[in-house]
Amino acid sequence: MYSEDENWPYSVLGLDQAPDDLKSIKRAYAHKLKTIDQSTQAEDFQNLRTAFDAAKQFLTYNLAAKADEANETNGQRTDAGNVAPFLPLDHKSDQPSTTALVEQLQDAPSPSAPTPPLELNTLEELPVAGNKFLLDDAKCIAPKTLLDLEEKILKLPRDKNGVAFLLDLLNSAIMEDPQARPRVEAAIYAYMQKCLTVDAEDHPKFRLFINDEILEAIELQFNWQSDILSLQRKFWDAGDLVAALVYKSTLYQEEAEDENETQFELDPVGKAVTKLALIPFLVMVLSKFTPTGSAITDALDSLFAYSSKIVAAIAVLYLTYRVTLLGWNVVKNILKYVMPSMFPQKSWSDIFSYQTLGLFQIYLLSIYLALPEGMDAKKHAFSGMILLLIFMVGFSIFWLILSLVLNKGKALYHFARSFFKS
Amino acid sequence: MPHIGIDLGTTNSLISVFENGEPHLIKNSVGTYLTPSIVSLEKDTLLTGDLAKARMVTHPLETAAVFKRTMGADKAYKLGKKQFTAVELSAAVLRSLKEDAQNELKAEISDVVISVPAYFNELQRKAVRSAAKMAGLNPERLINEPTAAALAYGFQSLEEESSFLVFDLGGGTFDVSIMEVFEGVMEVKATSGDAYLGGEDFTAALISDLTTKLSPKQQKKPNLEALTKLAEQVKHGLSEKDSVHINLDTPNLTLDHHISRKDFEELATKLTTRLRRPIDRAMYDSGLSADELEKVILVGGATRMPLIRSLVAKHLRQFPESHIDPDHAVALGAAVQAGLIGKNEALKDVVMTDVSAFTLGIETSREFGNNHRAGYYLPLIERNSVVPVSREETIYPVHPQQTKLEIRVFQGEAPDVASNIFLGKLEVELPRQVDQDLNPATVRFTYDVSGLLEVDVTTHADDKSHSLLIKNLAGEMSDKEISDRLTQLEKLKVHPREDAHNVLLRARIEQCYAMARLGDREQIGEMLHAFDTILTTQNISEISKLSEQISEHLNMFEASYVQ
Repeated sequence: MYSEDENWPYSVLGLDQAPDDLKSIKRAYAHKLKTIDQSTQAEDFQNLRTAFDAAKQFLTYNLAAKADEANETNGQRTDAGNVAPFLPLDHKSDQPSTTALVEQLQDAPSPSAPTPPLELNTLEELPVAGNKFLLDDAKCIAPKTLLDLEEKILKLPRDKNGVAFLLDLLNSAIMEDPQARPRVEAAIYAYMQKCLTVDAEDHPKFRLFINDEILEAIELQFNWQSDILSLQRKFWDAGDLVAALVYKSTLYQEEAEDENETQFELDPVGKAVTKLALIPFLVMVLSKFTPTGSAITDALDSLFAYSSKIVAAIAVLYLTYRVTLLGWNVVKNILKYVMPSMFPQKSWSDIFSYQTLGLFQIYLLSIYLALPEGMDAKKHAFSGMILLLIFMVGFSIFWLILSLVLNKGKALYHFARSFFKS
Repeated sequence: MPHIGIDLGTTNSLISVFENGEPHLIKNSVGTYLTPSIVSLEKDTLLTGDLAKARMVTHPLETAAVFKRTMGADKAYKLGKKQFTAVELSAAVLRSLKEDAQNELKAEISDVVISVPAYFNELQRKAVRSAAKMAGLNPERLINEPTAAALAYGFQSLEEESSFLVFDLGGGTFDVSIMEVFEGVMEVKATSGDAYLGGEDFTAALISDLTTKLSPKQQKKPNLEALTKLAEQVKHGLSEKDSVHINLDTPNLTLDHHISRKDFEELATKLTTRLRRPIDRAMYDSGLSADELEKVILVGGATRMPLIRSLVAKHLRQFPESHIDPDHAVALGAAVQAGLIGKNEALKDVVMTDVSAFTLGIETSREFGNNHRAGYYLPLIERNSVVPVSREETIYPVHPQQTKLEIRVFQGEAPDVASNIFLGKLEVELPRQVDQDLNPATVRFTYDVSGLLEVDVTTHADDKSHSLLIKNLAGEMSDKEISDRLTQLEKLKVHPREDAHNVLLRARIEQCYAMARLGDREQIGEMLHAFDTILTTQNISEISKLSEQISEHLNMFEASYVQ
């Protein structure tokens, strides 16, 4: 569409040719804009706007090209075409000095001789109190010192000490220096890039020593976590870092969910079974306190016999149900390991739940306690307990070996995490 | 039909009209421009503005303030025995503003332009619209507060070409906008802000500091209303003097404390750090450097604080100006916008272009090794794009056998969708294809001047398109609901305009009575008695004479406990 029109974008603006000053572009745009109703002619407005932005950009290119040409013919190279991205750190420039501004604003009685703004020339000169940098409003860092600081950040050890240094830096007054800010940000970005690793599923994440505190401090100063646009515009290769930041926030959510599960979750049937198991136990205790041989004791004894059988029956049914469920979970999780694409979003720690096994032990124990001596079911419950224990230990060892062999220790970490959590 | 603009503020609200080629503010029933956004219920009578504000200290349980922050949320405010939502309370304020304007202009008012914080999301904007309808107004357009503030200033300097930054720190919100004026075009280049930062937060910082200075017994159950008033007075005092001395001794508030500007600055360090970020963001988005800005204009009552002025000066290396009364700019700008929409003769050759204040995008998955992870934000319309705007992006299914695409639409700046605001979703059936790479879809976002978003999805393989207009969000009220609430609200009486002055003065005496030391109490009690007696005579000249005397006394009294 546009490419068919040789005179685009100028034709849209109503111009015959490329103008050589910004003013005529703006005037042409303003003239056209006044003929458009933005709320009803959205498309016309967009075309005009695109043309306006393009014309402005072309003008910048043309001017820069012309300046280059002129320089080449003169045989001199100057930086006239380039605009410095930041103000030079020179207090003798036209900009009013910060100190003077602040003093006038606050109407404070000015000191007899205003102290000249201090330039710090070496890193060692940065005023320090405790382990905090101090910097007065009036002070700025000299370009040389800033270079040293950048270099220092890039060479920081990738461990707790490095992070501690960054934390102090981020909380210091250096961050109030408008020249220092973007450069410190870029240096910290480079440092953080080096602190990336991947998890068991190749998802980028930060190394362990990158703690919440440092991420919060970075967020407070530079908004990385809350402003994806500026992060991406400032650093074109931020993809993995963004992923790690997202990973961090989703990890919190997963952990919060995990915590909910840890609170000994029983389904309604399980709750009923544990309560029912109490009945024969209470009956047994009661019969101990009634005088032997009385009618009450007899009644209690027979009640105990019946109730314990019923409870044992329900518990066995329930156990079968849970074991099937557990079996399916184990199968599913092994499948998940074999075919990760089928279950893309689960973490390794789901493979085996020690809580479930622990729960079984408790069921078996309650059945064992509830049943009278000499019953077959009691023996079965006991052997069940022992078997389950052996299974748990055996599975742990199997799992450890599996993870060591298959996953080079990554799963070991997850296993340890889930183990210590439960 | 007059062109009306309304600034529905967190602390104060204003109404203005564009006539005779200029925006003008309209006075309220007690003769001031600022109507406090406070509502109080006295038996069955609904009081708003200054009348309600004066009851803050004496009847805290029947009074609600700072409700703008919960616009669009479900929070209920209890006034005595009745419950109100922020929308209803705002409607009450809007209704009183409407009456003030009708009284002054002697004309019926319906179409209005209302200003909202730039960071208000769709839900909150809908809530403001509902409040306006409930007040019997037709919200013709909502204008972003920073845009309105910039318009007010831009309108004054239409003749010269310039770029300027408007720093608007109001009671509850903080906005920054950068505008360029050329050839009769007022172009908003960037806006930014913090929806939860304002003068009230500085007051809150003072309150929490003052609370620590109370006796342990009073700390347990501090008289918050009295403390708030005190903190506000300290804040205002510090705007004029280097330090303030508080000496207060009432049954539930005993305080003898000294605060200097430096102390206040320290208390507010966290808040001032937060102020810097939106400035940086707006500057960055506008592509301007600090020395390309010709002016920095301060707007909003909270910019009277010297610490704000010095922060802006330090950060932008420029003296800030405040030509227009910082409290008035937004309302004046809203009236200019009303004039622009109404094609007022004086604005025939003037246009304004605005930008979208936030980024709009969808949720996507990213591939890592063999895995996909969802939850990544893909921005489509970047913040500070000139509106109306339309942008598109091509997306691919994750899995070869995928049969559906779920397009989840979000608003916000965070890289993970979970931290952004969910606006709505659209499910699209995918045609069968061998490979997911052969099955792309195009998502197009269209965002218009009134802030409505339209989402279009086209699947390439079968060329079908689906669309979703983001509206009817949860929390939005239907017209019937609005009229139902309106009739309920109308059952409540509104205080007659004529004796608003007297009611205000009486409430103020009561307020001072509550704050006074024992000796002063007696005197103020007598004042109240004398005032009541003279009110019954209905002799207007006598009443006004006594009113003047009493207000003078009260001024002296109020000045004595914050020195």
